[in-house]
Amino acid sequence: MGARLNGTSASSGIAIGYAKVLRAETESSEIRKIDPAQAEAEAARFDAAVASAATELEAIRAKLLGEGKTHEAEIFEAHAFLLEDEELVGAAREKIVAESYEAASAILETAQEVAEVLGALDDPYLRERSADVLDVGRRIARLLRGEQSDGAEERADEGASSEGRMILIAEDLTPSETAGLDASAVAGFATAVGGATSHSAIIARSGGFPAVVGIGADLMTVRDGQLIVVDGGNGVVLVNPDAAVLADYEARREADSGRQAAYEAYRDRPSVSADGVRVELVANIGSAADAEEAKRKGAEGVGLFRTEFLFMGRDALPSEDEQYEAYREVAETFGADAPVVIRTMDIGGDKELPLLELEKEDNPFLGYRAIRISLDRPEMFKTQLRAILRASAHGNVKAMFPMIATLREWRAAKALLEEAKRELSGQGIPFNPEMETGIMIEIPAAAMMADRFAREVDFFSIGTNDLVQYAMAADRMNPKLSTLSDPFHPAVLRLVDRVIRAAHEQGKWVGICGEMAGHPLALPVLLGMGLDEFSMSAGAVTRARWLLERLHRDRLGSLATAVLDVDDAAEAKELVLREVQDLREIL
Amino acid sequence: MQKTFTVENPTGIHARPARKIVEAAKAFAGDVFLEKAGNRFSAKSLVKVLSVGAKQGDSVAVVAEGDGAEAAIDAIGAVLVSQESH
Repeated sequence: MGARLNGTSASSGIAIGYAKVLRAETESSEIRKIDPAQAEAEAARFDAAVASAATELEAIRAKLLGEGKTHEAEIFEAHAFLLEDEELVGAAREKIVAESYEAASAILETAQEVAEVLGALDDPYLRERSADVLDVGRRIARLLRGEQSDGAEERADEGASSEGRMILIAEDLTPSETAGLDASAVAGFATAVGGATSHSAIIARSGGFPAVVGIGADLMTVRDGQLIVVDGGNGVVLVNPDAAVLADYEARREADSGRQAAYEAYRDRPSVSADGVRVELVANIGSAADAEEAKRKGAEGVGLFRTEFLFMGRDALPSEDEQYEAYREVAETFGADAPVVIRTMDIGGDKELPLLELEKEDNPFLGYRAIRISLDRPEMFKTQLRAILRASAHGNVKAMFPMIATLREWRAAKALLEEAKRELSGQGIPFNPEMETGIMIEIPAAAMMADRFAREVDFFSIGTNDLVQYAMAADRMNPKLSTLSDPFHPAVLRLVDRVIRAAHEQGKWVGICGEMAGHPLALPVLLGMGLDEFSMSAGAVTRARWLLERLHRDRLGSLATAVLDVDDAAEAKELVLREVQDLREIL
Repeated sequence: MQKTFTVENPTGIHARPARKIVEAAKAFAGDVFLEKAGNRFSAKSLVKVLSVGAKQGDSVAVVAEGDGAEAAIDAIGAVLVSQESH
């Protein structure tokens, strides 16, 4: 009989596959030693395991090549190459012979040491290779300890082409782990912790992986190889469902893929409502690679370029030239007219930057982050502003400041921008002197003062993820608070409505760059309120455009007013569902 | 003997080039090293070659002694200056 686990919807869609449970690495860290008299025999056992590993890798590689998957095959070819490496296999053997290590302990410890060396390098590609080294080490250790080749991995290897791909089960996935998921092997994932707006969830949505997060400790009772259904939209995970339930989900997955094909047809269409209102459907991105992905998925520009990813995981701050190249590349991806909103770095909160040597804080989300840091480090900030300005010569680039709470902060940031412009002019370096400059509205204080800000800025972009967190006083990472972390609370809707009206009274445009912008239930409300720009995960763009073409803005004004006058989020959603019949088809 | 090369590959010494270097080094009987910024790395270990962290524009010296050293150095140098990625 199957089990049903409830969590928070992180990324909709249905995934069916076999469990691959990722456990924290601590379990293998214990070092076992052997009787020194046995060392030679242990070394021979080790050599045999290395040879078996080579046979396994060759079989996987040949199979992938046979399926035409040359890229995947090459990964395993590189793993086989590592099996001959003195630094890895040779050093492990030395630990056995000279220090009487049990063979599996020797290879695991050596792999860990090598991975740490690679992990410390100032190159994201090489840092990722540390995962390959660990993988090879674990493969040998598994063979040594006589554990069966674990079923899920084999299934994942062969499942790359079939429907039986794997479902990752983990306590938590870091954003980089989520970003590294291989769509050909992984069908979806489920985690014990995390919330709907955690960065892993955001990356899952942009990659189109169904995902459920915040399930709790029960999730970790799942074992490798169990059949799993992830119902991302409903936040449900089923373990070993019975045949009838499984058939039902398979049918729903089929219907989903049919809908995806329907949305796909909207990839290159203009973003226009049924009554001819033009809005912008743009993407949230973190890198130049994301920009290309977003363009492929139908985004007409970028509403939020999170530049902090350029700053993270490295030993030195990125130079002006390096930042300029990254910004220019994104601007050029979308062409001269498409808007690209570059947000200055938002370090702090859940994104740490050891380089800045910031103190640990009890409440990082309420602490020293984003513009608060930038204004204290004018040289670092101006380097970024100059890079953004230089990129503005190559496209429709706009600059945006995060975490603005007061007019004073906005004016200080703007003054530094003007200083950067003067410096560039003095050096004869081209930029767009008319570059639009706006602010994020994510702090309720700024939402309440939007009328004042609107006189001075060129635009607003409402960061609803943080706005909800701050307005509801609910940590977005805490699964116990997920009912509070909902943008449909009328308190939040009133703030959003207030900001939109304040902007329009001054003739300024306003967008949303939180996850709310891509939510099908929110789209009719926001369109009715008059929102100009919707910036979302790239994977949500075509669906939003499909829905937009079915909505009449002039008929949604009353809905937009009605949702402000309810008791709670559930009532607001009820109203939307009643008003927009097309939503029933896609939810 | 040693020769110094400038890395031309836009993505640095990554997967495929690193492996080609190791293969070329292993074809030579004696020790072969890469030197960058005063640090020396065995060219016979993929892990070590990756650890060099060589990027486009970096100068890397290839060091080897004995019979066939020059051929080994030139073979590795050819990979360092190649622009072919992967």
